[in-house]
Amino acid sequence: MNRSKAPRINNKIEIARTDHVVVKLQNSIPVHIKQAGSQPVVRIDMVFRAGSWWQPKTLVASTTNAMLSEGTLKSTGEEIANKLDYYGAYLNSSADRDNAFISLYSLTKHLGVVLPQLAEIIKNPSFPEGELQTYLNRRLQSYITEKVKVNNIAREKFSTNIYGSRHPYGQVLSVSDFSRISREDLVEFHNQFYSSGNCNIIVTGNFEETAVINILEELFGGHDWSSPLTPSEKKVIKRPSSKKQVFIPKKDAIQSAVRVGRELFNKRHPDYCEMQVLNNILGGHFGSRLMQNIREKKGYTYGIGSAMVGLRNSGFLVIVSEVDTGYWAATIKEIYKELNKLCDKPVSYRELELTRSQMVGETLRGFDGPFAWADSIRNLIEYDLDHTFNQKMISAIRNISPRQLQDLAIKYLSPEKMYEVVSGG
Amino acid sequence: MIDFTRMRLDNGLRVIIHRDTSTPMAAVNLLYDAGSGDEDPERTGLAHLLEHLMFGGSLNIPSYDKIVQKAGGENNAFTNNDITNYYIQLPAVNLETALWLESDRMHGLRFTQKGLAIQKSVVIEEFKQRYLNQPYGDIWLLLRPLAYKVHPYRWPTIGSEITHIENTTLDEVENFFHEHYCPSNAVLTITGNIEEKTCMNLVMKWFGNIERRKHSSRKLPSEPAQEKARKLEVTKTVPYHDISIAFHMSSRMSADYYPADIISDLLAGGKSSRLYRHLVMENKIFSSINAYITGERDPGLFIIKGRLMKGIEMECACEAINNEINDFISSPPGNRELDKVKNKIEATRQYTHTDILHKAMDLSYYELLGDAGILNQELVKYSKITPGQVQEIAGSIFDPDNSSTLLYYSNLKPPKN
Repeated sequence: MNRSKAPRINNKIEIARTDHVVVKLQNSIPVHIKQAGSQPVVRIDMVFRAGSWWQPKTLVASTTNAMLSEGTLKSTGEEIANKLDYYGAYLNSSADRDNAFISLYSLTKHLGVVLPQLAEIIKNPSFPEGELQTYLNRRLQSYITEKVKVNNIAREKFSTNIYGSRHPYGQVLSVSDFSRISREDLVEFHNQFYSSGNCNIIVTGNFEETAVINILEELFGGHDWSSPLTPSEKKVIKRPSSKKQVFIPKKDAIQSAVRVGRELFNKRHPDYCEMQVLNNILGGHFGSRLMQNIREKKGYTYGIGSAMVGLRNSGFLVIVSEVDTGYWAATIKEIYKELNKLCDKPVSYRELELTRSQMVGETLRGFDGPFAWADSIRNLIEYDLDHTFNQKMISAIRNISPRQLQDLAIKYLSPEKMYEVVSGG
Repeated sequence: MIDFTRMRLDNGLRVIIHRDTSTPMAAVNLLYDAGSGDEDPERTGLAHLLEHLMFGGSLNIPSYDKIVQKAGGENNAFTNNDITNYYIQLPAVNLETALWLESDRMHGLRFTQKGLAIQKSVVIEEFKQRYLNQPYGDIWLLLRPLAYKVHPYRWPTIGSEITHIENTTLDEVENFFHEHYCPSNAVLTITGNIEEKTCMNLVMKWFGNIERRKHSSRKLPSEPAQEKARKLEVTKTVPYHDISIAFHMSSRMSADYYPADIISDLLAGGKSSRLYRHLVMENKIFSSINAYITGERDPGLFIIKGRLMKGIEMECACEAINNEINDFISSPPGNRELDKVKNKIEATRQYTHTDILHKAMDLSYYELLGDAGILNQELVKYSKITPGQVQEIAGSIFDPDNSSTLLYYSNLKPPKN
């Protein structure tokens, strides 16, 4: 047989469905619904605009979120954990810069038992003092352990440089913040931000739709958990650093962390989708230019990549790597070489076709299986977008030209606009 | 229940197919029965280095990654003590491309000095990034040789030291490939939106004529029973003390594996578990605590690990763990506590199997253990475990003479809270 003859590749793949159903509860909470997958499981995501952007002082948003399941008016944290564990359900909660999430994973057959527990956690947390102290002490230890890692040092400095240290996206934690937070901060933040007017619900998996909507209506559809205050837009001042190159030495470092990037924008910007394609070529996947050059040709690093990070009121592009302390200068030189190349020379049709195929496959995976669906829907809600955005993205992947990519590179990727942080030796 | 079709090709390749029409995708998982346990003690890290070289082009395909990309796929691999596992997820219409790629790599690789030199450098950077340049990153480099004296599980997959990777020659990598990457030493699993018959035909087409090659049979030295408790104390530049205890336990296919897995969940699976409640939330001795089993095919380890809260003495923390273990042995779990863990194990399986890739990985692995069908029978095995069995196995594992303890001291004065 002839092994050198490749099977035909179909790259005209249809991305059939990127939409989902939205229904509203009596109190107008949008419920985003997608049946997907073949296992008898459900995931419920509660999304609140309650990230660190909104907090009156550091730590409040993430601590409020983490403490929700540590006790309610009816149950102790231990009772809650026992009940969820008994039914094989688990909670995953997190708060990022803009939003706070609480996700419940459950077997479909136990949803009726565990969902009321979720409602109790969200609507009536008690924020017990003892558990709060334990949480803060533990979190402080993990903060102290993490903050010495070169990668984290570089990440913090990079955000501070592009936004300024007083901006909510540039602010970083310090040890003293841990003694400044009190139970009252959490109670107040919870009252204002964990309310029906500030909430989206996502339901994915295998379930009987009417039954689930009925339970959600009963638990979350009332006016008993509205807040008199809705988050209004907030005035902030951006003060990017005037110093574009920063080196933070770390004693005994074996590798240095490298970050190069700049502020850009989020999914709502007209150039966003096309920039995603450009980013993909630059460093968005294994076959990208940065990875091929700096890992696969030079062997300087285990990994290098670039990403467009979206924020509700901003966004940035960042190139990230960890390299031997002897290689960082050479790595940065190669990064700029790659940026210049994108500005100076149009991408070949061949490379562009490869990127299109890779991104179509990635898009398809983004809508495959219940948990992937939940994440995709979440990414839209964060920016008040609906599924038509997905079509816009797919069309950008399919239609962008080498010329457009070069214009975008000149507009957004020229080296003199980049901020550079190196931490290590 | 995951239903599947099975076939064995004349060259010895085992093939498993599972159809899932809820997705437009397919996953192809190819597991080789070769891991770091099969290495020469002077060339540790070689199995993982070869995993990297597997992406450097095969006899008829110069660039593996480009083709995957063209087909809209995503691929990766991992190596552990027992196996090396490769996988691709891609649109189901492009399934044949994945089979072409994987069969050509099995057929033969393009080994070059240049490729080897670059991947050595990449792997060495991985070694530094994950094991040397992180606080507590070297725990496994220290714990494995403490717990195993003879068996090759005594070194970690990345390798025991960087010089082993530096000194590896092209011949050694090629030999490892020829000795272990044979059809009869592999399990191929395909899951997703595929039709069994068509799929089988494509597998026959691409893998059927790879010659049957003799693979070296595995004769790993067995670890003699441990007779005395072992202890290693180190002092490092980290902010808090840390304890790791390793106990020898059964092999993956032993009946004792199931109660041991249950014990690890009773002790530290989730926020209602015993160690978390008692030692983290109530007594505030640890900032984090964990218990888990390594689950290797040869007798593996039961691990208990904890990071101490500031100001707690190491002796006090060790004693707290010992007290919990003794309590556990003297008072077995009640039925409700046991049911909780069994329910959790059942649910976790369902969550894992929501995607076709994890189904493919599991089917391959269970087929390697003897029969992919074990995947469907295990929940019954778990459900039959009694409190008495749990207590008995706990008694035999948690024998102090069976323990290897790594006390990892901080030499830093932690900042004031």
